Amino acid sequence: MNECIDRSDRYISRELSWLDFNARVLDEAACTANPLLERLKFIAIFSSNLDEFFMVRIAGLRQLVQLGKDAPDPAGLRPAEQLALLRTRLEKLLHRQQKLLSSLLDELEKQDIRLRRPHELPEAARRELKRFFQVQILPVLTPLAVDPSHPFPILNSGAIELAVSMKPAAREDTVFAFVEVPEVLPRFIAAPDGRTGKTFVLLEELIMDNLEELFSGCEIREFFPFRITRDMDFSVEEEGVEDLLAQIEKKLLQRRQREPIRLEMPRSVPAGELYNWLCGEFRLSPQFRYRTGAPLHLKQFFELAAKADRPDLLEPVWPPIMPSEFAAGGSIFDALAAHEPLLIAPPFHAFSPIIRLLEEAADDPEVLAIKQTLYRVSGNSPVVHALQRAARNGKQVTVIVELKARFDEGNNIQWARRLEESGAHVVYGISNLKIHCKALLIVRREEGYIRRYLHLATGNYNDKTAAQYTDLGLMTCDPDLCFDVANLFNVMTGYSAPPQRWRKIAAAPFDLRQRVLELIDREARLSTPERPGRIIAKMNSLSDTEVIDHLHAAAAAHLRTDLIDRGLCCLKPGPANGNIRVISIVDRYLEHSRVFYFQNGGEEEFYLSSADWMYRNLSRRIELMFPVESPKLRKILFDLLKLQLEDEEKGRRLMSSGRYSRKLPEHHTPARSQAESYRYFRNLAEETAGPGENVLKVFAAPETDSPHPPR
Amino acid sequence: MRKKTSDTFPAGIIDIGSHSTRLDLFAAAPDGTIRLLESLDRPLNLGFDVFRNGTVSSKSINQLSGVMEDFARKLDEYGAVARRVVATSAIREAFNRELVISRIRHDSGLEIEILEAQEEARITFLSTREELRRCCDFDRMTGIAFIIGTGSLIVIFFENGLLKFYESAPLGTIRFYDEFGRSGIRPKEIVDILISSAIEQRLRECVRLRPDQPLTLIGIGAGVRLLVRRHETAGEQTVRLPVDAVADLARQAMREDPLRLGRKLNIPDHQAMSLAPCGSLISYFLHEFNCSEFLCPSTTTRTALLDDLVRRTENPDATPFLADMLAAAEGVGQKYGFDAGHARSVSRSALAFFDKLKRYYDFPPRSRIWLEIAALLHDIGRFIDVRQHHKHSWYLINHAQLPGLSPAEQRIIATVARYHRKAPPKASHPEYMVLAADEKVAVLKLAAILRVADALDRAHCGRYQDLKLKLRGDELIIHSAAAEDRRLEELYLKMKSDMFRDVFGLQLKLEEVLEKL
Repeated sequence: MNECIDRSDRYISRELSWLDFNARVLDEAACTANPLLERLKFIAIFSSNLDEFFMVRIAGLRQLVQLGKDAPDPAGLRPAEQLALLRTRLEKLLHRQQKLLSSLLDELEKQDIRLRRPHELPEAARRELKRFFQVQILPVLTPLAVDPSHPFPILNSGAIELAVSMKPAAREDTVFAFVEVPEVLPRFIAAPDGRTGKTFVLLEELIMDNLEELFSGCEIREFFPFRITRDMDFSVEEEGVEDLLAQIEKKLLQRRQREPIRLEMPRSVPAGELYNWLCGEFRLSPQFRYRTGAPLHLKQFFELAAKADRPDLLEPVWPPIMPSEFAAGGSIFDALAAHEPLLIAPPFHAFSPIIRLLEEAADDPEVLAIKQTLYRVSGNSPVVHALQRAARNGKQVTVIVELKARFDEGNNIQWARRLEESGAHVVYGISNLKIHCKALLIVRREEGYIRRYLHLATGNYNDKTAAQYTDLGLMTCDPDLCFDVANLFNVMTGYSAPPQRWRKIAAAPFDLRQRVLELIDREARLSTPERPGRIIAKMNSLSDTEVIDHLHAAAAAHLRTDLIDRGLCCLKPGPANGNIRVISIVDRYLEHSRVFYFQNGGEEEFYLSSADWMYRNLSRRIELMFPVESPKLRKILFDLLKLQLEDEEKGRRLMSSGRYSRKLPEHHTPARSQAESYRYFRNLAEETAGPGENVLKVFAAPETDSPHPPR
Repeated sequence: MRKKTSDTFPAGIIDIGSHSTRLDLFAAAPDGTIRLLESLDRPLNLGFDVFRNGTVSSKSINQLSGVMEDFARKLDEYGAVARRVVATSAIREAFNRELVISRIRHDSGLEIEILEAQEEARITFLSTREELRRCCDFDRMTGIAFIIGTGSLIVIFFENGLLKFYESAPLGTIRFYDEFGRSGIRPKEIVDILISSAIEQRLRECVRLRPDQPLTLIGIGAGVRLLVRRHETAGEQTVRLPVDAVADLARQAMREDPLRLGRKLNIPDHQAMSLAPCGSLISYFLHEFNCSEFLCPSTTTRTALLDDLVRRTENPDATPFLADMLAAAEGVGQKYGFDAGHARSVSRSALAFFDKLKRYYDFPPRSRIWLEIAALLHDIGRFIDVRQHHKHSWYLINHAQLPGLSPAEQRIIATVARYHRKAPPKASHPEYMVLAADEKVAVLKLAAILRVADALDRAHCGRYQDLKLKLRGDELIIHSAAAEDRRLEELYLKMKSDMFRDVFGLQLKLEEVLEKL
């Protein structure tokens, strides 16, 4: 792309777009339709997202500036410009976050949930806390002094540290020290103040209130909490797969030594000796220093939401629905063989059928082999346990583990090793490619006949995130899909070169990009002013410039495109025509599924995919896009997409200015797509099962919260 | 007789080719349906070593070993007990092929079978015939089928749907580039090489091909298929083209830059390199022979191996290629100017004896086929010299192109033919002494029968057509309806039944039957 051309009419800068997404998360904290503690959680999510953004994206931009790599992004902004703009926007967002938090804490006070400083507590409570500190906290603390014989220590990224300056009794000079606020301890300590409800004290406040216990014999001069975030944007030299595991383990150990990218501290910290010393040691420019009026490390406020123990201040539980095909119990293989293909839509649907499938496969003597890709799994994962058992039971178990799943590397290495010890064949990914597709293939012998069972999904095999992210998965025995995916596993394990052609799937980095562009172009060719074509594309991020260019070109050819893009979107809709509509939905569940619809002149096509439309997905990862051919399932997908497109409550529209429309309703409405989707699946399960079997009683809250009558 | 399997069974074929090694895993159902489960392909350029240096390098052996270990694991994954591992042109021609086979056996537990050209011709022709029978009247067709692989070319002449003659040449699509380098060979030179190999001359000599005889030309191989791909019809496996159309395709392939043509035809670059050699081949055959039409079936070595494995596993006793083997034997006989009437007469008589004796004596599983072919070809040595012609027959049969027979079987047949006259086997006969014990026994029994059958047609007029044999004590009575003077046959029977008596313990007696049998 020509550096000199301003393409800001077609593109939005990626990092700024992402920050807009996070701003929408913050909007949910402001939205009074959401229960109080849910709003608090959004405050925490906002901070958690921001932490990762600093560690990876801002760190990456700074690296570019340091290396003198000045090329503008597709929107025409150079790295230094992006950093400056980000700083400006971040300051506003952080300010907003602080105000929101303050307001939420006030509201929580009215609900008898309080946050106090130790000195604000009655004396008896304060003494009680002191005893608690001495017994439970003090033994875990390790102060680190800094002096000529003790060099500046390596401080953990993301943890709250206390900086202390003191004068020991026997010395004249000032000694500096650090105390890490241990993440292994709870952040919110219950304070026994005798009042109704719950009162909490922050851990760092409690430690600061008892510093003399740590530094006895010293005159404490200054102290304050701060937090360092380090640059985690490193790559692994992938010389060969044999080295990859060792490389990643080495990099994990080196993480602590990475350069800081952000320093946070309270606004109240004076620019005194301790502050100046600290800033001098980190050598971090003011652009990366942040002062806040809120407590640090707001990601940990999830803990408060849990400890408050107030279900009435949370969203009502929507119990996962068991698809009626599985509800009767019995063999899951029989159910699948009888009813496939099936759509599983966590968290609306229970994730348990997948676990059941694995567990049954582990013990079934007719199962010959199990192959699965694992990108992010939960700790103590039932998926991993089932695979271990299958391997020990003599099945041929092949697991493709993506070690380079950022921030999950350590977790992945651990359970991958356990799988190997159980006898599974574990493959640690492919050089220079991240394995991101989500696939499970089971080979089973049935009365001499070989049948394969396949699950392909948009989300990971993680029972924890399956309860928080909306995803879609297809369970099928389709021979062509099984053939393709079996061959894809052979490619991932190095057993085979990729085939020239897949039967039904498209896979990155082989032909997915080409296929996506072909589908867009085909739609444009079929489009006329009288009968415009239509694409509905749901994904989490859109930033690939080639895809964006094709979408713009298609829009000029009368094609109507609806993009349901939850996160960042680098495509700027044109003001000249409304042929591209972009909406983003941010709600209680993280939208995560990838669904693609192409009208194709009436012969509609539906696809699910593990890939967003980003360069990394289309060119640097193993991804999978697969068709959904069953008319029944296509109808479900279309209905879901329609619900999202009509979501007037949580759907924000991206305007030609590059900003999103903002809605902050006071109450939930019947247009809320996630609630409607849940209702949709519930009705579907009841229709298929018949009355009485799957009627769930606990679905009162969305209906009672809404002033509108239920549909 | 092995029981025919009634369940679907998983099976695997590994094909170690010149430029890649493939594993196909499939499920074969009792109704004959083959469902491909997985298809793995690992590029491995064994041809580069062998075509240039004659051996497989140690580096390539190591790589192949790794691939085969992976494939062995794959076969175990499906519990594929029915499996076949074949190596085609590169390993077939490698000087150190036994070393390669031994190493792979040790490392992976897999036994490599060298797919000799005649076996490749056999199975490919069988698969092709099955496919073509579904779309045309193949059993009435006569023509030439060529199988072009990356390392070798096989040319087959078929008559009325039966394979009659074949030969192979080291002229594969990629071999040209490996031997001569990418810039070293041009399509015209390929045609010149083909002309110089005198295929047309041999066909005239061996199968009495008439110069203007109209022939169906069949092109088999992935490269040919790619060339004609644009003419594929949905639902039809075979591409059928008039000669003009295929000639145009061939010319285009010879003239255009292969990569450019490949992109036009949406073919990956590495496959596009095969288009020019395929075009050259087609052009050669169209020019040298009077081709009336062109067919390109979907058969490949891979599908042929698959079909053959299923066939063998499903019904191990079936002999779908028997008619072709006999036709090829007749072709060899024709090449050496045999007396076809006598050969067939001897063959009929020999089989009548065999069918009678097998009720009372043991014979190896395929010995009937051996006897039939030996009977057809026993006199071809006369082409060299009438004197000692039995010994010439031995040599000619041993070196003939007889698809469907292993080298060991060919040896047995040659030795049976060698002993159709003169002295029975002796310790001083190396061609007999080199046989294994069970082979010697087979030769003794079959040669004993052949001598008798030959004696009965001493006059070369086929007088003893409908033999009826009856066992009476230690006598085997030959009943025949022939009414003429049989003193000649009685004399030669007496002279040539010594071995029969020694082997079977039976005296032969010729009796006339007056009533109609």
